[in-house]
Amino acid sequence: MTGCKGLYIISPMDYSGKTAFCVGLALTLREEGYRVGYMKPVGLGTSILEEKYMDEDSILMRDILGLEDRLDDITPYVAGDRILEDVAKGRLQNLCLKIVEAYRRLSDGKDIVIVEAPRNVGFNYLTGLNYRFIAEKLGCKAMIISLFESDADIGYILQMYEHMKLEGLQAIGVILNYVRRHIIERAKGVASSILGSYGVNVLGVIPRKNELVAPTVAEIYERIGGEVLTREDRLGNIVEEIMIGAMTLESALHFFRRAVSKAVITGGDRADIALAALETDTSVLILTGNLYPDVRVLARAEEKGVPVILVPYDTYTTVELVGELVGRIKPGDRRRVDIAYKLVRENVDWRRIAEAL
Amino acid sequence: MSALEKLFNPSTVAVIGASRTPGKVGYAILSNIVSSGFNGEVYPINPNATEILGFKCYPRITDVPSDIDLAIISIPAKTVLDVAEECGRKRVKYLVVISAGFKEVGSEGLIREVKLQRICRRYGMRILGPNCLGFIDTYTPLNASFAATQPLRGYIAFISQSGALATSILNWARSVGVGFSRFVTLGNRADIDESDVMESLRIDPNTKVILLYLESVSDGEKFRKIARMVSPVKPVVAVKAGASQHGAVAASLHTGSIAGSDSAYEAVFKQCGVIRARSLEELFHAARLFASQPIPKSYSTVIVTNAGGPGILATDACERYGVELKNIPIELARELRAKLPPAASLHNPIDILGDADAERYRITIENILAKGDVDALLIILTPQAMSQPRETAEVLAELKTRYPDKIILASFIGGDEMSEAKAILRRSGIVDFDFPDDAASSLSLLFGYKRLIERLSSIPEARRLEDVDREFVETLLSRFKLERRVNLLGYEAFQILSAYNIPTVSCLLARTPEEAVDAAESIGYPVVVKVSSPEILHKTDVGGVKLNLNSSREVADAFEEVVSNARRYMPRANIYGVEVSKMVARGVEVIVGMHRDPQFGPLMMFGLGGIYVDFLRDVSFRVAPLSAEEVLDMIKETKAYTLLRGVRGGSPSDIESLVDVIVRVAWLSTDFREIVDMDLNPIFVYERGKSCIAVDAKITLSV
Repeated sequence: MTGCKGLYIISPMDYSGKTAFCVGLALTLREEGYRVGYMKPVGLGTSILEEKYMDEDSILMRDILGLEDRLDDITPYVAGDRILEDVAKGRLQNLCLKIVEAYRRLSDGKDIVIVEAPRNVGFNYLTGLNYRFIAEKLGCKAMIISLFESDADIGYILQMYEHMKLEGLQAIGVILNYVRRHIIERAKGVASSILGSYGVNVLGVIPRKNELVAPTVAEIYERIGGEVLTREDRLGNIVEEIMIGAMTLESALHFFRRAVSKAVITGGDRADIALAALETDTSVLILTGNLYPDVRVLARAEEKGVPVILVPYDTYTTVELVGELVGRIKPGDRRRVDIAYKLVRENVDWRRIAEAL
Repeated sequence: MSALEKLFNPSTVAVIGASRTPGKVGYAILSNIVSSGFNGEVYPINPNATEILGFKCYPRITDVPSDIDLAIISIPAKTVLDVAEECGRKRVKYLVVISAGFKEVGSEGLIREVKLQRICRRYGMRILGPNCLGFIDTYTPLNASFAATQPLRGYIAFISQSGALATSILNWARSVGVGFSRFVTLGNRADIDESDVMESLRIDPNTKVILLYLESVSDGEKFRKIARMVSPVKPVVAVKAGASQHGAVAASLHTGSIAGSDSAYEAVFKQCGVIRARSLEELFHAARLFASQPIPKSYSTVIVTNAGGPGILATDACERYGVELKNIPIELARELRAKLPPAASLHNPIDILGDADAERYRITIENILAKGDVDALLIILTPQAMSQPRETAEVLAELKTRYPDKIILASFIGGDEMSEAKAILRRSGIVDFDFPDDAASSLSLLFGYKRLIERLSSIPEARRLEDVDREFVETLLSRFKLERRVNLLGYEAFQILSAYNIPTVSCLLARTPEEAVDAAESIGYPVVVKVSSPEILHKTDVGGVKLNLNSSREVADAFEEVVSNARRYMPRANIYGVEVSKMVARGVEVIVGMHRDPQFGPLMMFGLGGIYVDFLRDVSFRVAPLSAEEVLDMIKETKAYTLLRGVRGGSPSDIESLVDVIVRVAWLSTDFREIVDMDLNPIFVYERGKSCIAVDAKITLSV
């Protein structure tokens, strides 16, 4: 093996922002003169390219870093919905070998290869990609990316850290990611000091930025479908909150003023509610029940630059669909790539990471 | 030359889209102009005709040889922009755009309307409409509308946001003999709005009273300014449609933007001297009254009756409506005593007995008018054996001409026997009522206007505050804006209020129990601990408040308790920690709030505080900024005022300091448009001289 170092990025939970962190770290290190590679050994089939399920993160990172590696090498196995069947039928038997070979090709001529784990830790065990393998066969060190939303999260980090140690994988530290403003001080204070007392270095506390995490109207539209009735040019608006319009006109304004960059979901026949929402900071108006709105609502939305989407579902179903959406960096999303880069550059001790490898 | 002079009184008028075909709008307009007796030049514009109704027709407006003051446009919407452009090049001064197909039809129309506005602005042309019925001035005379009815001439000006309503009113008014000086429909108000027209009417010698039919105002600030200027000169009476909850929804839909709250309209009308009518009936009732009666100089009314019962009923009604009955001066009483039968009652109401003939009415009324120093007379007549309704009516008519500056109202109670007399009264400008109750309510309207105007003139302009730190508030607000935070924490709200010298309890944010204890030590026991989270509006409801804590131990425990309570009830809320504040003594609890109204801006609210607030609804409203005098009026409107003055031996509260707080909150709301909602709840008001203090505050910003 060459002098290339591997950094395994793993998280104890879903949606902790691993990919955004990888983007930010890769760009930062590259700017500092490192030759940076990327691998996501087990991908998730989120999009279809050339009639094959592809992992979007691989495409994204290959674009950003201008890598010339084959996507098959970056992600040797793309898991579909039925990973259990793949395991049961023995389709993954040669996977470890394939990964080692692909990693060898990828790391050629690189200083650092970032190896991103799929989703959360449980997935790795299904594919045989355990810590020992990462440490021994790929020679990586690890870094934990974790949310810090409740105190239990710190427990998960410690558990993961200890587990790695037992299997011989050295974790150089942890990043507390997407920390909300009001607990930043706690993250840097009591949380970091407790982690430190167990030997876990906190290498960065990254604040939550809605511009990165919140979905755009386009992403919501992709999910719920329907018909864009006006201001298709504003689908790039981000949606930080969702509000349901089911109150009287009198209280609507008061209510809507309490949230910014919001999606307002209401019946297509509630023109009064729609007009009130348009008086406040609204990113998108989602009208339900396929009830075509009054022309004056559309005129006002057009005037205010707010896209209006008409969907066939009832309000509850629509909220369910939209509610669980989080923003993802997709290939070509320059805006989010820039934010991810800045967040890492400003909040992460990347120098120490590079040195620790 | 006054504003809009050449719109309502043009020398030359072009009708673009004039038609030869009766039944078409373009024909109706031209024929209305002719039949109204307009004596300026008229130019029909139509490329397919050479002559219409005897006027030479021109293919385009640019072909007309003379200058054009007013062009009335009635052509398909699609072609309006090109024609407006031509009018601009021709230097036309005013456009009345009758054509529909603008904002009211949606996005495409909205774009067209904006383009129309741009064209007119570029050439300095003013527009009435689009999508309107036009206007009528009966004194110019010019009927520049397509209304089917020609109105009678009168002293009432009517401004209507609805064209359809306007045609009905014209038709109805003619049938009941109500005349107009000017009749204007506004349409979409792309340029000229109700305030512009109102301003033009202020100096119109033919208008005695201005009526408004509104679903919304187009520019709240402008409306306030102009209404306040016009209302002392002549009464402005308004019907605002959409006062009810469902009505407001309908009005929002009709105008395409959210209606301001009814409380805001109520407040603005009050502050600007606009009289609010609740129905069209009330509107026209007031109109007839103001058009026919002078504005009273004092508040004295005398009732003259030929029957005791109706006289007493009228007296009751006067008291109910707040109309003061004058005590009859001794001099006058003596005079009347000499001329009237001994049984006549010379107290007000003056009862000249059932056998009173026209002459007895004359003697009585003449004496009162000549020596009584009264403003208003209410004459009641019931048909009895000796009564002379017709002759009495003639007497009143004659006296009305001799004393035109006195208000004379009549209630000749009866049916057939009275009809001739009533006709005489109506012709001579005496308002007549079937029953005396209505007469009393009308009197209260006249006196009410006088009172309103007097009050307005005694209220000084709100003066800017010197002792406030605007820069500090600016800095804070720009920081919140940067962080995109709109719901401020309590202690942040307090910082803003303190910068405006509004007394608040001292309050600190603590993120840990240790910080909470430190805060408590520095503030001084006893303290209050409240959970701190922008998402939690009602802290008490989630167990997020602990009162009267006296030791570090209690404070530390309270921290754990309120934070975990809040977590349990609202797991998704962002909890910053707690706010520790000074526990202060209870005073009279009041609320001061501000809600930024979409039409009128900062709408201030004052009311009684405490737990019964929501159902007592003892609140009053005004639009900021406010002078101390206005604030005091505002407080006096509520029952809380009685409480603050001290009831049942309770000592009076420091109303002065409360007034000062409200004035300051009003200025804070005026100075910073980004503050959209504010709530100081509760404020404790202490005994006179001991000030008041805001105990909790919420502020919402816009981004």
